[in-house]
Amino acid sequence: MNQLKNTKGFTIVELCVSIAITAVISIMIISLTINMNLTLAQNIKYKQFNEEKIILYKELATNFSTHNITKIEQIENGFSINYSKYSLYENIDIVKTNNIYIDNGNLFIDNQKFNKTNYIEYTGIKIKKIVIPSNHNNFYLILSIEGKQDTNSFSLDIYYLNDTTNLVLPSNIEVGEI
Amino acid sequence: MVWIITQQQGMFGLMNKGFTLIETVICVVTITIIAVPLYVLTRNVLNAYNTRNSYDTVENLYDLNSVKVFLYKNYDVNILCDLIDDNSAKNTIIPLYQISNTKVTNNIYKNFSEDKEIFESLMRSMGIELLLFTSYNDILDKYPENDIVKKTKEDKELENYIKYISKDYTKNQYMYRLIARFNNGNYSSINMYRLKY
Repeated sequence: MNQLKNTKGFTIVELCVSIAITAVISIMIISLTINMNLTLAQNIKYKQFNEEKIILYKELATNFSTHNITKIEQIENGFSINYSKYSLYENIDIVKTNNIYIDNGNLFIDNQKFNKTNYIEYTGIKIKKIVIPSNHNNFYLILSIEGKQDTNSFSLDIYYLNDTTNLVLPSNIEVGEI
Repeated sequence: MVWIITQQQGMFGLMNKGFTLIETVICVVTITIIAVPLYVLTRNVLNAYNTRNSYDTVENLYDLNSVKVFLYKNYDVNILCDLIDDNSAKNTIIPLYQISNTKVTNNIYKNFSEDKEIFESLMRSMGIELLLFTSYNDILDKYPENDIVKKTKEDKELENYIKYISKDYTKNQYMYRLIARFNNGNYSSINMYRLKY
């Protein structure tokens, strides 16, 4: 009880213990706040990029994955893809072409431009042919848009699972066997 | 320094006694009581935020949509719907595909076929390690005694995701769900439906 009625102030041990406890709690809160700020800052970038990804999928996937691809040609820094879809309404094959290419870090789908930003830069377009080993007549295609996001790289893959029996492909399409 | 000052009866002659130990303890305890819940609360918010970021990402939803298209083209999805709707079987979850310790379990295509190879290569290229076909509502609650439901509840991350998507209580007897876990720990789900011939 005498110790509790200390008339001289803290001992050095008491002082050190109280400072240590307060310091530990403060450091925890400060590191958490920094962590939270970083996460929120990253989230803003992530959301902007996400919106762009949704538009890309809408522009490309609608044609690439649901129409019949009749021909793929290599053009400078990209591909030209011809699609056809039979229209029951008009009784004709509707033919479409998408030119997808990269120019100076920007991605172009026909005339629509996806700007490179401070943290997103498009670096390549690939079409991969995944061959089923037991039957080389069977394959599916992946259209892959590649890029750099800050220091990380990313790739958006769009799958083509339609009939590929009569499809004409350029010889330099990357072949990946499974 | 403070200790020296108190020994010398204060810098300005005001600190004659200094704090007692009980005052110091009360002060530290008060700071701790305020700071610890603040820390715990913030930590929980951050964890919940990071978890939600791994649910239903744009790429994962698109990949799962490709699987959906593949199944409708190459498989009779109504077989799966019948298994869910058969009340005597008491199923709400049907595992379609799973990789555990490099062992592949494929319940869609058990025998060798071209479709099986394409399906498995798709799963590999998309990085899907678990694919489930489930009822739309009451996935975990309708038949809690079912072995697959019990096994699902043991996987806390999967259970949390199912609880998260089950918050949508739109009742539709023709709707089902396709749920996937990807090898980066992400989860995604997409609606399925019964085909009417």
